[in-house]
Amino acid sequence: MEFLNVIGSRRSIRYFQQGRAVEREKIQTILEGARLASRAVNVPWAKAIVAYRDRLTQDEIDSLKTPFASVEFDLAPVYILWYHDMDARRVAIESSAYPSVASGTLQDIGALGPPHGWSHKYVQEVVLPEVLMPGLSAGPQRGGNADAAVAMTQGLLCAVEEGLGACLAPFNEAGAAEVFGVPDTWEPVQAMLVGYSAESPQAGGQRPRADWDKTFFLGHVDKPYPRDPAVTESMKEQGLIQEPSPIPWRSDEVRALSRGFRLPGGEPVEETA
Amino acid sequence: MTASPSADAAALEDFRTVQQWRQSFARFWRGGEPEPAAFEALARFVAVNEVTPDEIIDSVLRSKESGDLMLRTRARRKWMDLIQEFEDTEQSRDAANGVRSFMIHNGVAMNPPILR
Repeated sequence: MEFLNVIGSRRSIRYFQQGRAVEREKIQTILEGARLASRAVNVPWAKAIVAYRDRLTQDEIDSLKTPFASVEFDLAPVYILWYHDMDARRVAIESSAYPSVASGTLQDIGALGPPHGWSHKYVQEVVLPEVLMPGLSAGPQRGGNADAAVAMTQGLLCAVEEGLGACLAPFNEAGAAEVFGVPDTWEPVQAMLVGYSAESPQAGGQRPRADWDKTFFLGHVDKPYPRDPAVTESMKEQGLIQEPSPIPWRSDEVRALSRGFRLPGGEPVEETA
Repeated sequence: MTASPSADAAALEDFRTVQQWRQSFARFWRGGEPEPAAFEALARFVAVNEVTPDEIIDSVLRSKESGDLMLRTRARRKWMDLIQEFEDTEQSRDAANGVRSFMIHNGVAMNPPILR
């Protein structure tokens, strides 16, 4: 699949085929994609735990659920729980185990260097004490981390490329900590629920988004970034922009899926319109 | 054509939460309403548990002083378990799903175990 089509084809898939296992190599591909994501000072902020639903007890599965994401955990055969490692910066600074900015690796390989004002001396005597070390004494701090989310997103797009369905959902932090032995320095990002989609590829169509003019700006917040219709048309041809929701037969699809899984909403209904 | 709801089910019509169920159901599915069998299942469920539909929902979604609703997770869990018992007693996933549909359209998210 072409890259733009991968982005355009992604949907939050909430119904998964049962009895069809996800190949191990596809899960690894998701992780490989995440591993190469951009990250500040080359620190591995993102951590992930892969879990196979059928290897967990029902109590363990239930302990991962929230009131906002419940049935998805019963339907998806694979969970990838994504975390922000709040201790990653300290480990990167204090240990030479990571090829981070702090260890000088990015200078050694020519990624950061004198053309951008970076030298080993600058890293050791300015970046470390003035940028990376302040705040460490306060210990791990919650509050999210964009780079962990970027890694997860890159993995998500790999899942689409591999022909899988996936959905990001919140999960119960305490339950996951108990089941998977998660250290308290890991802050949840999202669970990626993965499997083969039981929905049509359209899955109801591309979701509506906020107005372009209220989202992107050129030079000043009062000036929307001009959206060239020719580019938009090209994006449609390349599969980035696809048929929007609502798709007329989506209700029928949801009803059929619900009936198939014996979920509420699957009961037959007399149409009035 | 489906049969008309029984007298017991018809007696539920005036409850606020039953009207909410109808309205929400029609909005999501773009028309239509729950099956008569679902109303009848709800009628049997409330009779078994000696409670009204409004009392069920009010026990899960409590009003705070601010006027906002608060989800009581323990109460939600209790009703989920009772609905599962109802399913087991009636030997009917459809009947239990009728009650779950009532709960869901009143703002109480839940789902049955997946049958594999």
